Amino acid sequence: MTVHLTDEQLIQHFYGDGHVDREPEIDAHLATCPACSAAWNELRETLKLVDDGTVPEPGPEFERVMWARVKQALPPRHERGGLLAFFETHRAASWLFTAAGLAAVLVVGIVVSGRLSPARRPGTSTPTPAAVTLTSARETARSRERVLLTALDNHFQQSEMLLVEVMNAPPGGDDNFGFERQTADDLLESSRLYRTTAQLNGDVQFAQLLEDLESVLVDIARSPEKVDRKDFNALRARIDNDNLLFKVRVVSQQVQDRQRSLTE
Amino acid sequence: MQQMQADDAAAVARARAGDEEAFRVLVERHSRSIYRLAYRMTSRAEDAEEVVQDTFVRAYRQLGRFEARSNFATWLYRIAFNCSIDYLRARPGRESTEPHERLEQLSGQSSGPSMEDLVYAGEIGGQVQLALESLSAQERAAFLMRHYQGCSIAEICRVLNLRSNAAKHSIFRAVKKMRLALRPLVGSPHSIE
Repeated sequence: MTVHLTDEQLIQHFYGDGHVDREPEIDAHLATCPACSAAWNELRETLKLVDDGTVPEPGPEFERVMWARVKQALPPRHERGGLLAFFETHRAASWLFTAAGLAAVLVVGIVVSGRLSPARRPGTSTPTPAAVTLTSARETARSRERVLLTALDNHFQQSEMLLVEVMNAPPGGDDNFGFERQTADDLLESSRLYRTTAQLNGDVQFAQLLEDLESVLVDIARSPEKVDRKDFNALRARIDNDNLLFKVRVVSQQVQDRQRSLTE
Repeated sequence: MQQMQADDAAAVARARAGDEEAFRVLVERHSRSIYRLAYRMTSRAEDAEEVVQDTFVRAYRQLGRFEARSNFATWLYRIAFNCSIDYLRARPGRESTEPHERLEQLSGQSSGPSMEDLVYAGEIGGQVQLALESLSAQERAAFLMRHYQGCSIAEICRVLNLRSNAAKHSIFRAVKKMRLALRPLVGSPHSIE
C-alpha cells in the first residue's frame, strides 16, 4: 500500500466495518507509515474521550418517578382490550378473522362517511327536489367509494405482486433489483397516505398492516442495485415471519369482494 | 445477560396480556439506560426524561409487534432513538442551529482550562456532550448507535430509515466533527497511551 489511508478508511477500520480481507493490509500500513499512524492514534484518542464522557446520572428515585409518569400517559385499558388484545395474543391465528374485520371497518367507514341519508321511502311517486338531491348524493357517495376501492385494490395488488417477486426471486446477489426498487418506491407514497388515514380514523390494526408493509417497501426501495445474499434472505425472512404476503392477499380479497358487491 | 433477556421476555408476555405490573418491571429495569441514550441525544435532562417517557408509551402501544425471540432492550433502544429524533425535529431550536460556530468555538479552546481542570471539574462529559450537540440529529443517532450500542450498519439503516451509504456517511461526518471539536483535549497526558 503506497498511498495514505483516508479518514473514512481509518474510521471503518476502527469500527471493523471495512473489508475483512483488507484489514491485515491496513494494519501493516499503520505499522510502517508515521503519518497514518499519527492520524490513527488521534482518532483512537478522540473516540476514547467519547467513551470517557459520562452522562449525569438521575437521582435514585428516577425509576419510580418515571414509572409514575409513564403509567399516567399509558392509553386506557379499554383501548387495548377486545379485538386488539385478542389480536396481540393470537396474532397469526387470528389474522384471517381480523383482516376481514379490517376490510369491513375500512369499507364501512367509507360508506358511512359518504352516506348522507336513508333510502327513499317506497310509495313516493314523484321525487321532490330534496329527494333528487339525496339520490344524487348517494350516487356520488357510491362513485366515491368505487374510486377509493379501486385505488386500494390497485395498491394491494401491486404490493402483492412485488412481495411475490421478492419471495420467488433466486437467492443471491446476481440479479438486478432495479425494478423491485422502483415499484416499491412508487408504492410508498400511497401506502403512507392510507396508513395516515387509517391512523386518523383510529383503525389501529389496518394502520399496523400498512405500517408493516411500508417498512418492507422502504427496505426494498432503499436497497442497493444488487442486493447481497444475506440482506436479501433477511428481507425475505421478515416478509415470511410477519405473514405479510398472506395478510395483503386477504385484505386485497376483501376489497375486491366489496367492489363486486357494489356493481351487482 | 441471558437471564435478563429471559426475564424481559416473560414480563413482555405478561404485559401483552394486560398485566400492568409486568410493564412496570420493564420500565424500572430499563429506564436508566434509556435515559443515558436520550441524554446523549438531547443534551438536556428534562428533554431526556420526556424522551424516556415517550419511548415507554410508544413501546407499550407496540408491544404486540415485539417478536418474542428478539432482545427487548435492543428493541427499546430503537424506539428511543426514533423518539429522540422526533423530539429534536419537533423542536428545531433543540438542534444546534450554528454547528460551524459551535465547532470553531470548541476547537479554539486550546487556551481554555487545562486537562486537569476538566477532569477535576468532571467536565469531559460536558465537552463530549457539547461536541455531540454540533452534530445533526441523524448524525448523532447514527454515531451513538454505532459507537455506544455497537449496532451494525444494516441495523442503523433499518432504524433510521437510511441507505447503507447514507448511514456510513452520517457516521463519517459525525466522527470528523467530534475529532475537530475534541482536538484540544487529545494528546494530553490523560488521553490514551
